[in-house]
Amino acid sequence: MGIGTFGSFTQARLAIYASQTGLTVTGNNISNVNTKGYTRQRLDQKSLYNAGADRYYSTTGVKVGQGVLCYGLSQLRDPYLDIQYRSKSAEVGAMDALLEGLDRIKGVLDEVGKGGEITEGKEFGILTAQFQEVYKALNKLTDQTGHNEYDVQVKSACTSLAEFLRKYSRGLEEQYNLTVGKFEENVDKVNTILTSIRNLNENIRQADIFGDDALEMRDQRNVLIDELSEYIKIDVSYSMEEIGVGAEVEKLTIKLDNANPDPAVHTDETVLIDGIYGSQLSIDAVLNKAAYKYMKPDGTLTNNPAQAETSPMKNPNFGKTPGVDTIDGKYPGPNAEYVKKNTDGTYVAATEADADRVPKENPDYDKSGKNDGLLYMKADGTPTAAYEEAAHDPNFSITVSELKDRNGRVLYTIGQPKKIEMTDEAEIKEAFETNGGMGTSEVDPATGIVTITTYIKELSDDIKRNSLWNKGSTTAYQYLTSGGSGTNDPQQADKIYLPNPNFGKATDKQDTKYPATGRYLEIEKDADGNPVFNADGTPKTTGKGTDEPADAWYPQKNGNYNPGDVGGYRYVLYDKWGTEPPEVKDPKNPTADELKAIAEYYTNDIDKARGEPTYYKQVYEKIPSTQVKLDDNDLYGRLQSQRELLTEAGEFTSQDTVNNIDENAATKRGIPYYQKSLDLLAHTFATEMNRINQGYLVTPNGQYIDPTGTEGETLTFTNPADPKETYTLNNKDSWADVPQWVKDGPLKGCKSVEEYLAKPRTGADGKPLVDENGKPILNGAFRGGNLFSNNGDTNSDDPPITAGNISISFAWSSGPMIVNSFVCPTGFSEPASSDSDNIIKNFTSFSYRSFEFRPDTVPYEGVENVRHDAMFTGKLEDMWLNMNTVLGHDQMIASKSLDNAYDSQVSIDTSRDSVSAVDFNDEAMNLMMYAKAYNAACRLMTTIDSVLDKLINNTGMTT
Amino acid sequence: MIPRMTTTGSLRGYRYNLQRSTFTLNKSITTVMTGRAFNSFAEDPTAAAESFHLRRAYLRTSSQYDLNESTVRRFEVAYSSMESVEKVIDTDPESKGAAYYAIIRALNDPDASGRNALGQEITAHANDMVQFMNGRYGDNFIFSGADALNVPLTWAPKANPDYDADYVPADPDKLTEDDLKKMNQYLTSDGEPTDDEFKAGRTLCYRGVPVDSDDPSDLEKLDYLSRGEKKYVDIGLGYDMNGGKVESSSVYNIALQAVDFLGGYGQETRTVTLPAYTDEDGTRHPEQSYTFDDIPKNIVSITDEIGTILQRCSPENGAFASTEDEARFNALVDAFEESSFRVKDRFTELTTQAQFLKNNQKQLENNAYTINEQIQGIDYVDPAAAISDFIFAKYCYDTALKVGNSVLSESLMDYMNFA
Repeated sequence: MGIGTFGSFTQARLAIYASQTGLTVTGNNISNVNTKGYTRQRLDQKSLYNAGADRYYSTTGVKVGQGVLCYGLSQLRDPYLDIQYRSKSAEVGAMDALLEGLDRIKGVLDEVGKGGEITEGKEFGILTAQFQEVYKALNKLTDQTGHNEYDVQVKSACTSLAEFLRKYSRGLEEQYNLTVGKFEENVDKVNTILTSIRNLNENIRQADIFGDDALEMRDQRNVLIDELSEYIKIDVSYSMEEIGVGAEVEKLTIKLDNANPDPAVHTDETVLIDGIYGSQLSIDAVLNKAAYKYMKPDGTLTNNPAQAETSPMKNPNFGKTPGVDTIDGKYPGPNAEYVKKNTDGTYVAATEADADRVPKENPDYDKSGKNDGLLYMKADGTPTAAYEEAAHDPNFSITVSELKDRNGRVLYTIGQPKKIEMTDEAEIKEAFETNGGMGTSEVDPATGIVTITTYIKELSDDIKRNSLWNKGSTTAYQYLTSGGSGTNDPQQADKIYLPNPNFGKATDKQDTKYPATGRYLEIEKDADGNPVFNADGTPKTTGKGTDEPADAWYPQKNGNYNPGDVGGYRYVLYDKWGTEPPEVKDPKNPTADELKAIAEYYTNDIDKARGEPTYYKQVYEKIPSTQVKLDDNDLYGRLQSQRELLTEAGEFTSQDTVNNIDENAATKRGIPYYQKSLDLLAHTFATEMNRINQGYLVTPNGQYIDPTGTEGETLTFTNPADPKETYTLNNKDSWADVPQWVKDGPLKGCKSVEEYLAKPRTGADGKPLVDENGKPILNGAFRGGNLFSNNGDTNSDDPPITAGNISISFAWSSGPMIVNSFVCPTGFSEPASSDSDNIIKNFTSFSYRSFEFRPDTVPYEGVENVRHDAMFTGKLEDMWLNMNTVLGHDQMIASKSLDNAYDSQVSIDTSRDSVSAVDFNDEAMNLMMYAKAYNAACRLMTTIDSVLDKLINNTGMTT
Repeated sequence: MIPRMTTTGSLRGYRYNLQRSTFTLNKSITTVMTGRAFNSFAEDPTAAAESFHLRRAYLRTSSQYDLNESTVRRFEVAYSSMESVEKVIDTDPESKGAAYYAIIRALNDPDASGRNALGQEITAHANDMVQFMNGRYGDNFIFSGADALNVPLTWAPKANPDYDADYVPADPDKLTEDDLKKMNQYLTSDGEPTDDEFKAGRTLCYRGVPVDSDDPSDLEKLDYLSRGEKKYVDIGLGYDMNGGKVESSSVYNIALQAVDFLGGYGQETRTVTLPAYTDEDGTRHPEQSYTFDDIPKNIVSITDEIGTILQRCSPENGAFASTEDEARFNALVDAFEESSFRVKDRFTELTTQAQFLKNNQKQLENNAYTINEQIQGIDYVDPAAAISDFIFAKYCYDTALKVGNSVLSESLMDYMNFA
C-alpha cells in the first residue's frame, strides 16, 4: 500500500509534533536539574508503519513508514543501583545516629583538653583531676592529722567530686531524654513517610489505570523511599497486580530487609507497604497489668478471651468445707476439682481432660474494674487510657501496625481455596436445601481470620435425550416463533401485544371495561416472568393499562399444538432413566393421565435430565493483616541505632536479655552502659570510703579494745571450764578461729565477731549500758560512720549510692568525720591524736589499689541476673579512663564506618546519577537534535507543499 | 562503557569533596590553634588514656612533692631542736654553758662549794631540753610521735609507789611512818611522802608515761611508743601494700618520739665505787661500792636528778647530803655520758633522714619534669608539622574552590548558538 497523496503532510506534521514534544521533554529535564529526586525523562518514539498486507499484490508497491509516533515517556533508572543505594543509606543512617549519640555522650564525659588553660598544659581533666584533689587532701591529712581544717579539705574535695559525678550523671540523663525525643520524632517521621508512600501508591495506581505514567509521582515516591531507607533497612519490590478485566497495574511492596542475624526470626521481613495499604510504627508502651483480664500463651496480656491461653475450668466449691464455707449450688460438691457445663446450664464434675476450657486469668487484674480501659501506665506510675500519655517500654520495642488503606480498611490476604467434595447427606441438605446453597463466612475471634465457604452443586454431564424429539414438529410445541417454528419457551415465541381500546379516546367515549390510560393492556406474569393465560386460553390481564410493551406481551400460541406429541421434549427426566416411556393410545387425543405421565417422563430442562449431581464446598481464608511486634534486632538504620543508644547496657545487660532478646546485647553499649558505669564508679568509691571509715578500736596487735576500759583493756574472755585459758577477740582471727567455748559463751547467738561487737553491752543486771551522753555502749569500741550517703540530708546508703545521688553524708557535713586511726597505742584506749594509720592504710590506698568492678554491684529495679564477673579491674581513676577509652574506641569505629559508608553512598549516588540525573551536555545535544529535527520537518512540509502544488496546479496545464 | 558523568553527579561529587576539604582544613586550623595532637578520646584513645595516666602521675608527684617539702621543714625544725639539745649535753669538758661542763665542775671537789648553784644550773638545763623537745612545727609538736596535738614531755609530781588510795590507818590519831607512806600520794625530791603536789619531787613523762618508770605496764607503753608507733606519709617511695599492711619501705615514717631522741626510757643498774678517803677528823674511810638499780636512762631525767642531788649538797661546804648521794651522783654522771652518746647517735640518724628527704625532694622534682616532658610529647604536636599540615589543607581547599568555580559552570549550553 502506498502512501496517500496527502499522507506526506501527516508525516511532516507527526515529525513536527515529535520534535516539539522532544523539546518539551528536554526543557522539562533542564528545568528540573536541581529538583531533588528528579529522574531524567526520555521521549519514546517509533516509526509509524501501517501493518498488514495489501489486498492485491503489487510488484511495484513499496511499503514506506508513515512518520513518527510518540508513544510514551520513560524514566531512566537502574533498580540495582537503587537497592545498593538504599542498603548503604541504612548503614549511613545507622552509623550517623550512633556517632551523633556517642558524640553527645562524649560532650558529657570526654575530658580531653579540659580542666586547665591550654597554654599552661594543665588540662588534667575534671573528674580525673578531682580524684587527685581528694588524694592530695588526704595526703595533707596524713601530715596534719587531727586538725579539723584538713578533714574539711578532704570533705571539700569529696564534695566537688560528688558534685561532678552528679553533674555527669545529670548530663547523661539529659542526653538520654534528648535521644528519647529524637527517637520519638524519627518514629513519627517514618510514619509520615510510610503514609505518604501509601498515598502516592494509591495516586500512582489510579494514574496507571488511566494510562498515565505518573513519572513525577514516582520520583516523589523514590525520594521518600530513599529517605525511609536511612531510617530502616528495607527491601523494595515491584510486582503487577490484577485489577480485573485482565488489566494489571504496578504494585510497590516495601518490607523490612531481613536484618536480624537469627535465621529463625521472620518478623524482620514484616511488610510495611503493600500497594495501597500501609502500616505505622509505634513504640511499645508500659502496660497497666491491672487492666488486662487474661494471659496469652506467650505470657503477654489480653482482654480478648479468644486469644487467651485456656485451662481446665475449676470447681469453685473444690476443697471447701460444707457447713463452714458457702457452697454454690450451681456447681458440684467440694470433691470435684474440675467441671464442665451441662445442657441445663448447671455444672457437673469432669476430669481435667474433659473439663470445659476457660481463659487463663491474669492474676494482676483489678477485679474491682477500676482499671478497666486504663491500659497503659504513665511515667509517674499512674494508669492512663491514652497511649500518647503512656511511658515507653524500657526496651523501646517497636510494633508494626496492621496494613490499612487510606480509609482505614485493613488488608486481607485471600488464601488458596480448597475444594472439598461433600458426602454427608445431612450437610448437603442443610447447605443446599435449608440454606439454598448460600455461602457462609465465619470470623475467628482470636485471629480475625475470616473463613468463607461457598457451596457448589456440580451437575452431571450424563444426559438421556428423547429419541422422539422432532425439532421441526408443528404439533409438539405450545408456541410459535416469529419465524414460524415451534418452541416451548414463551420468551422465544413471537410476542403479541394487547392494545388498550380506550387509548386515544376521549374520556366520555371510553369503554369502562378497559383501563383509562395506557397504550396497552398489562398482562399478568408468573414467577418466571412468563405471561399467564386464562383457562380459556386468552391472556390474563391485570386490569391496568401500560405504555411499556415489555409488560403487555403474550406469546403466539401454536394452534396445532398437541400435548400428546412427545416430539417437543428434548430429554428424559433423570429419575425415569431405565423405565419405559409412557404409552399414549391415541396421540391426537391423549387422556389426562397420559398427559401427566408424559409430563413426568420428559423434560426440556437439561438440569432435570442430568445424572446425579456432585456437591462440593469451597473453603478459603481471608487473613487480616495483623500487628507485628518486632524482635530486638529486626531493624537496622537510624532508628535502630537510636534504640540501641537508649537500651544497650553492654556488660550490665541481664543474662535474661542475652538469652531471650539479643545474644549480642552484652557487647553493645548505649547511654545506659555509660550511666551504669558511672554509677558503678560512684558506688564503689562511696561504698569503699564508707567501709573504711568505720570500725572498732584495736590494739597494735589487732585485739579489740573494751570500750569501758581506759588503759587499753581488751575484750578478753576466760574459759569457765579452765580458768587458765583465755581468749582475746581480735581482727586477725576468722570466725572459725574463735574457740567454741567463746562462741557458746559470751558470743552466744552471734554468727560473726562483728555481730558481737555491734551488740549493745549489758551490765550485770542485764540492762544495756549507756555512756555519759546516754548513748548505748556497744561490745566493741565503734568509731566512724558513713562519709557518703544517697542524700545529703541523711547518712543512709540504702537505696544504693549512685552517680546520680552521691552526696556527703549529713554527719560529715555537720563536722569532722574521718577516722584517722583505729589503733590505740599499747596501754591506751584511744588512738593517738595525730595517728594516721587508717588514712595511709586505707584512704591513701585509693590511689593505688585495684578494684574489681562487677556489673551486678549496683542493683537496678527489674534487672536481674546480671553478670558477676569483673568487667574491669583497676584503680578508680582507671575505671573512669576505661569508660572514656571505650567511648573513644566506639566513636572511632562509628566515625570510620560512617566515613566509609558515606563515601560508598556518595559513590553509588553518583553512579545512580550517571543513569538518572540530568546532564547539561546531554540536554544541549537533545536541544540541538530536536531543534534541527523540527527545522527539517518544517522543510519537509514546505517541500511536500511545493511538489503537490506542482502536481495540482501545474501538471497538465497548458498555458 | 565509559560512565556517564552528569551535571548533578558532578555537583554531588564536588559538594562531597569540598565538604571533606573544608573539614580537613578546619581540623588542621584547630590543631594549629590548640597545639594539641588530639582533642578527644575518639581521635586517639590510646594516647588520650596514656596522657591521663601521666597527668595523674604528675599530679600525684606534685602532691608528694608538697608533702615531702612539709616533711623536710618538719625535720629541719627537729634538727634545730636536737642541735640545741646536743649543745646542752655536749660532753666536751671545755664546752662552757653545757650541762656536762657544770657536772664536771660539780665532780671536782675544789669547786664543791658551788654545787648548789651548779645543781640549779643543771636543773635549768634539764628544763631547757624539755622545752627544746616540746617545740612545734606549725601546730604540731614535732617529737610527739603520732600524738602531735599533745605536748610530748611533761613534768609530773613524783608518785609515791606505796600510796594506797583505799588505805585506812589503824589509829587516825596516831599515824605511824608506815601509815604516812601509804596515805601520801607523792614523794618529795628527798624521798619523803607528801600529799602536797607542790612539795613533791618531779618525774619526766612522755605522753603521760613516766620515762624512768620500772613499772612493766609503763615500760610496755614506752616500748610501743618508742619502737612500735609509726606515722607514715606517702612521699613517692612507691606506696605498696602487702597483706593489708602498708609496706614500711614504701612510705616514710615521720613520727619522731622525744623519748627515743633523749637517750631512752626506763632504768638501769649501775655500780660505783667511792675511793677510800680520810675525813677532817682523820678517820680513814675505806673504798666503798654502791649498786643502784634505778638509774634513769633518759638524759633529761639523769640531768634533772643530778641537779636535785647537787642542790641537796651542803650550802656551806658543798658536801653531798650523804655518801649514797655522792655515789648516786657518780653513777648518774656515768649514765649521763652514755645517754648523751645515744642522743648523739639519734641526732646523727636525724641528720641522715633530713638529707634523704632533701634528696627525695630533688628526685620528685625531676620526676615531675620527666612526666611533664612525656605529656608534652604525647599531647602536643610539633608546630612545624602542624603548620605544614595546615598549609597543605588550605592549599587543597583553595584548589577545590577554584575547581568549583572554573570547571563546573561550563557545558555545551554555553557554546550553543541558534542564531
